[in-house]
Amino acid sequence: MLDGNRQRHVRRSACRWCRNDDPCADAAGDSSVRPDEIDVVELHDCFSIAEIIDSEDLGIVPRGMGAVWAADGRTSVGGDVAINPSGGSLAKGHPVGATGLGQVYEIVQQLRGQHPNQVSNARIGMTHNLGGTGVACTVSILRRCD
Amino acid sequence: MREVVISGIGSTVFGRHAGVPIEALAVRAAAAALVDAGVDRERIGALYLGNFISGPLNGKEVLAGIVAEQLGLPNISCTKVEGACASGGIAFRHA
Repeated sequence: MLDGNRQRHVRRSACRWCRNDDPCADAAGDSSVRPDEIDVVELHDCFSIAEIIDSEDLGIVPRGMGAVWAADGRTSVGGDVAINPSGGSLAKGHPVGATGLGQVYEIVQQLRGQHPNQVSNARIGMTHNLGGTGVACTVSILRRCD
Repeated sequence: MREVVISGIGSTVFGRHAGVPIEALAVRAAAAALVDAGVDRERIGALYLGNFISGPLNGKEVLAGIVAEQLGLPNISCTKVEGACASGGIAFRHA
């Protein structure tokens, strides 16, 4: 079930793509889901640093802690929140336009409990898809139907 | 926000597909999604396709209509959207 979905042109700085009034917060507002309730995320890691920035922008990792959480395994399967258990965009060869729908495919598999790198009892998932130099961004929150 | 359900998914493997036309990849993924959903083709009302630079890279445009025809979905609304690497996500949002 699609629980929240927003698209926005986003503003940028060197350390973040978005501000607090960003599509991530909007999508969460649509769905009344708090970031700490999200079990699994497929986010736009077109480059390694992008995963760190995205995880902080989305509010699922505290600001400034993206790299620390990743290094400590807190964003691995079995950690606080699973980020890109599919391997992410870099593992898929950065498939540009196919990225966003590929993320939906991965999250639906997770919510069905059918993913090869399954997050235990995943109930709420998020996709985050950036375009260009951050000129477009879509965020969707998906919830298991049961 | 009204209730929206994802009833089927499909994907090709990611990797090199030498000699495979770009529209064939979309047709394979969409056909798998239709089977997964168990939905009759007659019930599909619209097709949204996200793609980035198929023209320069593959010499092909108007992919949405081509894919719909090859899927056996004639006479439905077909739309291709482009937003660089966010193209797929934007297509999903519109659908």
